[in-house]
Amino acid sequence: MPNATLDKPAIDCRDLRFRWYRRGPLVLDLPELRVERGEKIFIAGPSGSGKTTLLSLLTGVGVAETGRVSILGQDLAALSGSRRDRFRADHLGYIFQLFNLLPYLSLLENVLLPCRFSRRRRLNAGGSPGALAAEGRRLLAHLDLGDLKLRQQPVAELSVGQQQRVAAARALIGGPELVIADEPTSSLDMDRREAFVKLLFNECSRQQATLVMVSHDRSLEHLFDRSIQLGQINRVEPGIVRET
Amino acid sequence: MATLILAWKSLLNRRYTVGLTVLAIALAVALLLGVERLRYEARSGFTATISGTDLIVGARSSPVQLLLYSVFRMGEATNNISWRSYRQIADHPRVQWTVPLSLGDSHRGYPVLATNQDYFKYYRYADARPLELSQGEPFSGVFEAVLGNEVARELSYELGREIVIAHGADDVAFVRHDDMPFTVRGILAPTRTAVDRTIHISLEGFEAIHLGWQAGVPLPGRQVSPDEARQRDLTPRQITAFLVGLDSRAASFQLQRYVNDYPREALTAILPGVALHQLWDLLGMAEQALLLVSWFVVGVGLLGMLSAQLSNLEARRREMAILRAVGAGPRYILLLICGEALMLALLGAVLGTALLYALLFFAGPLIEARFGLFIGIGGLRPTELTYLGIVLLAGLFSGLVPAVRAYRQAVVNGINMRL
Ligand SMILES: Nc1ncnc2c1ncn2[C@@H]1O[C@H](COP(=O)(O)OP(=O)(O)O)[C@@H](O)[C@H]1O
Ligand SMILES: [Mg+2]
Repeated sequence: MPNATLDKPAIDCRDLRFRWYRRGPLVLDLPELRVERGEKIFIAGPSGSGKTTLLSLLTGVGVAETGRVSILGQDLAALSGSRRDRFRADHLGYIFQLFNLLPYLSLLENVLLPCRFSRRRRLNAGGSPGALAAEGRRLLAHLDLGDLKLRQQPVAELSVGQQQRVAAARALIGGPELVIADEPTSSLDMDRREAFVKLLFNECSRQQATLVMVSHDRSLEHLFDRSIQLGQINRVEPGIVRET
Repeated sequence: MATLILAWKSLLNRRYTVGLTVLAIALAVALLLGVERLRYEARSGFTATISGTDLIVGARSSPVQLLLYSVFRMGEATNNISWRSYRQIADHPRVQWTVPLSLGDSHRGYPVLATNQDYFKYYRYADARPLELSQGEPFSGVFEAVLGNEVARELSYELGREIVIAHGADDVAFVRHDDMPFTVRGILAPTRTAVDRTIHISLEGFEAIHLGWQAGVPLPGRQVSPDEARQRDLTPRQITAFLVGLDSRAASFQLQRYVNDYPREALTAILPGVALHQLWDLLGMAEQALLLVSWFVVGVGLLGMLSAQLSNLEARRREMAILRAVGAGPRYILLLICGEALMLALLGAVLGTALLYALLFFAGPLIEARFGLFIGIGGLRPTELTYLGIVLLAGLFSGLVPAVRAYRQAVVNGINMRL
């Protein structure tokens, strides 16, 4: 049973190397990356610098060529593919830059989606369908989506800002220990970005979740406990980094 | 279960394109099942037309032609048999019974068959079932007729009704035997064979209406009234064909040789079962071709689904990335796409079957009226169920192609939507 141990760091990577193709260029070469429990850290890097690639290794969707990825004390390489999927479902929340929601599910169903894949998070969120819905509504209210009319709208008709907040609720439902956000604010208006991040902070603090957010936009950097420049810890030749 | 619900909602979300795919499969399935059923019913209806008759004898012709006109009342005899030859063969020691048949006239498009009471006694169809009258009785007078069930039903004729017989197969006004009408004496119960479409009269009646006719036209001044006709000797001089029952099946070949070598006239004797088989093989080519074509149509329907699913994958990349992010494994994605294909094929099969039954319900009576082919609305037969199973399996397999692609994408791209 994949497990997470409380006293271990949220993320502990060593000597991580990754390339997309066998003879392709190294995209990542990280000697070390460590994030403590409860930290809110910001990883900055220009487009194409490998931020999303790094996140796919942290979530166990991609597998590093060499090195160790330990999440919540669990060495991901020690898990089989389907175990890694389980681990991700149980312990991780993920927010995309855009298009976070399945258009064929209602707003609440989108929020509760992880509970379909993880028993642990289903039980954390209350277990029964009624309790799940209540927990979903509670989270949505915390993220300024308490409006009943809103919840009945097709999710495709929500504004981008609203969609991102629904995505945040989905990432947080069932109390995952680690929330990972891939440029979650990059599609938002300038003046909405800070508000979004603050809502996310509040909810992560309440659930004692660790938050890792990557972005090329450094305007929000100062809000975080700590900030990392991917370029500084990643030792790949600068030639492959393409600015867009 | 959760997978199924998600898959179903995803399908509903794409209901228009998905609907078209399902419709294409459904139409193909309806066509396939329809052709199969038509084939089955045609064959069983066909072979059920005559049974219990050991030989059919007519003037020298091809066996299929003889079968067509004597049993199916289609086409015409090239020649007749003389009454004397008929009597001589009928008196052969192995012969138990005979039924003489004279054809050529019609009434409002329905063929008229002249015969005698032995027809009602010896004619058998399907699994040796005798003819039954639903109303009235067999003809006994010269100018009496017994109608096949469909004739009575379609023309709304009842007992006692007088009908005029036309000379030849076409109902042309000036060649009607309107001076000698026939009275309906009996109506046969339905048989679902050519008998239903036949009007039966006595050989004497047939002889009577042709008194004073030569080479198919009435001779001026030679016309006789019904009463005068009754006074004449109405023993037929010729008949078109006759059915033969023997004392044992084994005598069939002996008697067939006897007839085929008959010295006084060029005759042909056929074994109805063999000739039916030959004829069916002839028709069977078309039937096989039709079945093959419908399988192709099913293939095209499934290909349509495959291409729709493949081109959809690109658009569904985000969906896959989201599912991966919340914990779905690549295998889940594989199952999702395969399950979707299976679901579409299943929907298509169910809808196609429903369509078939709707068609049978509405078009069945039309087909029966128009082509005399009865198509039962019974449950699905084993062959049809097998076909449906093949369609589902093929659907599942064609789903494997996009599913494997999606699986690879899920493994390679993972949560990278590549916006
Ligand atoms: N699925 C993929 N297949 C092949 N190469 C990829 C794939 N995803 C990203 N890359 C490449 O990896 C590098 C890093 O991309 P990415 O991690 O998406 O950068 P960022 O998220 O920082 O913009 C880029 O050169 C990109 O072209
Ligand atoms: Mg990225």
